[in-house]
Amino acid sequence: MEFAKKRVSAQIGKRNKLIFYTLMMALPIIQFIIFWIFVNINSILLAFRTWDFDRGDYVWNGLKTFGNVVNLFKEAPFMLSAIKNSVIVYLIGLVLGTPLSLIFSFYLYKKKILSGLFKTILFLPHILSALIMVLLYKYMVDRAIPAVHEMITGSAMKGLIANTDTRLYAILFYNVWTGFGTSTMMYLGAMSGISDSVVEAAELDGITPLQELWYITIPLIWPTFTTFVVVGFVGLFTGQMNLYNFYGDDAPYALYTFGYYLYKAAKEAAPLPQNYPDIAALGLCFTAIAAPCTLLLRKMLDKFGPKTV
Amino acid sequence: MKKKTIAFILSALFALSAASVTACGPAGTNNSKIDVQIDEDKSQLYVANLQGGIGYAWLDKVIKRFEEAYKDEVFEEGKKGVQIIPEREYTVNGSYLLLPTDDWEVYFNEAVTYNTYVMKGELLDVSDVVKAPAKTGPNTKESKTIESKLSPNMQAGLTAYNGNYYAIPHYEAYRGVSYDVDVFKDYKLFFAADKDNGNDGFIIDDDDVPSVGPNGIPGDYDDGLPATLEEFKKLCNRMVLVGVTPFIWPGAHAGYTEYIVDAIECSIGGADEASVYYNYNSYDKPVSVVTGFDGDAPQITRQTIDNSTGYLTKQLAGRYYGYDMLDTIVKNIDSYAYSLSNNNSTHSQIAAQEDYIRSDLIGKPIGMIIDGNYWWNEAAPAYQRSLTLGEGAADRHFAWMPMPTAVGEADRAAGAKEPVLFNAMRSFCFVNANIANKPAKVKLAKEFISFCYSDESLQEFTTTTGVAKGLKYELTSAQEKDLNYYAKSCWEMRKKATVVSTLPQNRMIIENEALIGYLHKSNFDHQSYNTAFEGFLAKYSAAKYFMGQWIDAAKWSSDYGKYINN
Amino acid sequence: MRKVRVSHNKNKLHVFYVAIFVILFLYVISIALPILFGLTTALKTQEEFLDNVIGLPYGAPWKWQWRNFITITEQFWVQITIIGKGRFHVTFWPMLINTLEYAVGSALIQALVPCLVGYLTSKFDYKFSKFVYAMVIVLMVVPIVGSAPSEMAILRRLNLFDTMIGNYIQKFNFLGMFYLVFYAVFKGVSNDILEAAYVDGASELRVMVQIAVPMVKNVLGTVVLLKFIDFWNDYQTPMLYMPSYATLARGLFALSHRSQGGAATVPGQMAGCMLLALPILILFIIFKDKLMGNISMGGVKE
Repeated sequence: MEFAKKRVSAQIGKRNKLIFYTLMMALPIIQFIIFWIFVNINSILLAFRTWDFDRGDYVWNGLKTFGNVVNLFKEAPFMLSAIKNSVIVYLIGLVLGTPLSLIFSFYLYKKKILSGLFKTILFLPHILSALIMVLLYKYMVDRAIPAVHEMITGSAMKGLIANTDTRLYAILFYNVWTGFGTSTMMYLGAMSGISDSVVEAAELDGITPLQELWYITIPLIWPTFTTFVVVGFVGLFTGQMNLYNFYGDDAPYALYTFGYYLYKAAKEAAPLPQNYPDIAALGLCFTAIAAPCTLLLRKMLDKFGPKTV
Repeated sequence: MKKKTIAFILSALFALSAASVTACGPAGTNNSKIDVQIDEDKSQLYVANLQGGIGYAWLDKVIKRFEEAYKDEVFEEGKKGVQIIPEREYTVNGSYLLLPTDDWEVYFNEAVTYNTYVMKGELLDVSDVVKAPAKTGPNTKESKTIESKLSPNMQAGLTAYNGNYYAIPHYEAYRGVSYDVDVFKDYKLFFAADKDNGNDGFIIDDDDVPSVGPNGIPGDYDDGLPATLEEFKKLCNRMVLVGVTPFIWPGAHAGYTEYIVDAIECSIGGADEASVYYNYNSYDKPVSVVTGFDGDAPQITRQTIDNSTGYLTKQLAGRYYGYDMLDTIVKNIDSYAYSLSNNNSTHSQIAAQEDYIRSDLIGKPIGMIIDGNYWWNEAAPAYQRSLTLGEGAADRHFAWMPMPTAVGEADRAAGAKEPVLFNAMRSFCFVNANIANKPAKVKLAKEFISFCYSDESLQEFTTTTGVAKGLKYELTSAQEKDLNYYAKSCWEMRKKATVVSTLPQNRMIIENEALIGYLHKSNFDHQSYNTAFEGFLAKYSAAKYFMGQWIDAAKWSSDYGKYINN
Repeated sequence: MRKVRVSHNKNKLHVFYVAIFVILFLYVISIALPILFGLTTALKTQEEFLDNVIGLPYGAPWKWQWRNFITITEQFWVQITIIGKGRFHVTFWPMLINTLEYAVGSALIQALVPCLVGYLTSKFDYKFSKFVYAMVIVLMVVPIVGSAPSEMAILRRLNLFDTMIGNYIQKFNFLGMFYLVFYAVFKGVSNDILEAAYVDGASELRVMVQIAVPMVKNVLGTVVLLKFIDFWNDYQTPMLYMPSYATLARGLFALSHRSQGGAATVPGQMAGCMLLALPILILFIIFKDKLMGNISMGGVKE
């Protein structure tokens, strides 16, 4: 009898759960259907259509447009360097940006000296917006640094962005330099959710800060951490390396990333109905490659990450 | 506590936004002062004017005259007169308009992708307006049609898609070089008629007879200016020698350096050749094509280009000579250009204009600026600021600089050679097709644009802005006298020049507009370059950069075969 | 827990922090220099800026161009023309109200919606949840461009164009990075606590609102703040979808594009940017500890 009651209530619980779930999900999903699917379905379907000049409208074209995607790549000799740049900016973010963000947020989490100031400063680039940060940075590297160099050595020097040999590094530096805000704050948010008792127990064992970070903190924020790794990986395909903020629509081809190329290609095609299908097809091909890779990475991170502390 | 705060903020926001809905329509201006109130007794017309250096003073003037002239006119039942409401600083440029859902009715915009909107049926057919005389009032009109004020090229370009007019040219602007006349005078940088005067061909005294200049005619606006590229390079060297920096352009926008390439291409190649870039077809007129290089020297043939040989467009000789000049400038960039012009990311066009205006006043003169002829409008605040820089700051003399019309003495044509100007603005006036089913609106819009193209309105535009509209019309001598020095020099040039428009007439190009984008892009050695400037900085030669643009003949036939008549 | 080696040297504890401190301190300097440049530039005349780009303004501090800030505030207006209503002259205060309405509302929505969906999909083990999660990741790499025309058309058809409520509905989506973050954070929340609440007879809604969400409030607060700043600086979306709602960022955009007036100069622009950033900087300094991180007292922890 006790048992049966439990089962009934479990079933009611299950049904209530489903009702609650459905009710709560309904609005976001409806919004998604209207403002994503409805809005974008046409531009996605354009991959299978072509502009008919005589009719002044699109007509179905089957898979023919996808043949043009190969041409798009053939006509873009800069694509190799674009892919190279995308990989470089991704790797630098991964090996330099991510660890620094982690130790910065650990420092803030531990509320060590001047944490309040550091928190504000780390976040300042975000507050000022990319537009003004880029402007300030340009003046720093193209005006201030050459002026200081001239003052010290007496010889003239080209600015770091002005100089075509150094501009890539100057922009890479900018990306790391201003990129701490979001991830540091999010890690910090996750870290401050860690139970005090775990940490206190460890501290009683005389754990060093590095050990605490490695053995306790990172495993406990692992889901958040891997989310940022995945987001970073998405950036490999879509990241613009702030090129738009530095150059607007006129970034030199040698600096292109894959994401910037896509942005430019789409922006140029936007006013030309006859060119749009090619870009839509390119977008679909690109998704067909990038999406499985990202999902795979996600799976692997879940599989090989620490399960518990 | 925090939850309460959030709940409070949320409910407050929703109350606010709900209030805005019940108040019928947008509430973003609820607490703001109203400048222009809708006059319910009049018919309204909404006009969007792109923000920019041309400003809106001209629009305010024409609106005032129109409203006055039509004050007793009835467009809608129960209403009398017209109220035109301008968006003076419309922010969306003509390539990205969302016309079907936009509320504006008449547009003055630039960078307009004209044929695209025509194709999509988003512009109102205004052929009846263009083919009729411009209105000067409800019952008065001019004697000649607006169409007759359009150049044949412009007529062909506007009607190329289906024979109808869907727009009228708005302003016209040219890209190229302007020079500081005072610097040229003070440092004696004009060429003398007597080439062997012992001063390297430059004038010695102010009253020396200057050379005839690029157009070959003595006693006019271009006397003493370099007539050949050889002379142009000589001039640059001379400038360096006498302590004048030859050029300035915005270092943050390498693309500006293309303006000098375009200008040289126009002046050396001529109008027919320059137009080929926008049609890939020379329409039976022979043009100079580079077939290869013998060392540094281009091998040139004269031939016509049609759709089947459209790829030769990328081999036009004028373009090569433009690159050759730019290459010379970049290879000597430390002495030929202002220091910040060398790729400096902080040097905007506004900064370049100000540095140029100040240069002579602070004793570090710069001879020429590479920019569009609208630069003087944009630089108005900089000019105002420069007035504190001592005597002579107010009385400045800048002028449009016609480019050389020949490469060297050998190929200098005998007789006169017309100047050619390159109008790259694609600036138009047009009516939104989404008002097509409102006859009263259509009638009003058409009356208004017709009114804007009367000679009086065209003249008023030029005297207000210093810039020309893209149609044929004259200024009265009094009006011409009132133009500032720079505007006068541009107007003077324009009177004698052929203007190249970038509107294609060739159906092949209309259907493949991407062919006329990025005309300066070049591919070689597994890399692409947006600007020749980039390529030259990387130490590539003009010939290499030029050849990197060439299109393979076989590829051309396979890509555009359907446009080639057998 | 893994075996932890006991540290014998207490001082060693600090070396790690000292190292981070040094790095952070250098970072502070590297950020401070450009900002200092921005501030000092804002205090020069254009003339002076052209002569003296990176130095301090000439003269004693009270002789610097503090007026630039006043000039910018005076010139801070936009003209808004609304079909059927007329042309308005919108000044700083109405713009501030619009900005707050836009930024606060949008930020809350764009934090709460991903939080809600993140909670539901991570804690309700349905197939649909897994589908939503995978879909969000896939959509992150779908390059969508040129959706403005159809988005505009839909907003107009629903009578939501140029309304704040329309904007909120537009913002009511969960796609993107922060959904993944919330999903991850909720995954880290122990099910035992939630189960315990169910056993006590708490409703689903109660469990979500009173137990689950408070457990992630640090992250939630951080996301609200991040989003708020994004929307504060955003001029493009309001300009496109809410043309009659002039925001401060749009005011600055208009100001810097107006060829006449103080903002056409570099010092003027710097002054404008610094002014726009100042309110959020102050907000951030006040709220940084309240909204995010380091609330070790009172917060529900595992």
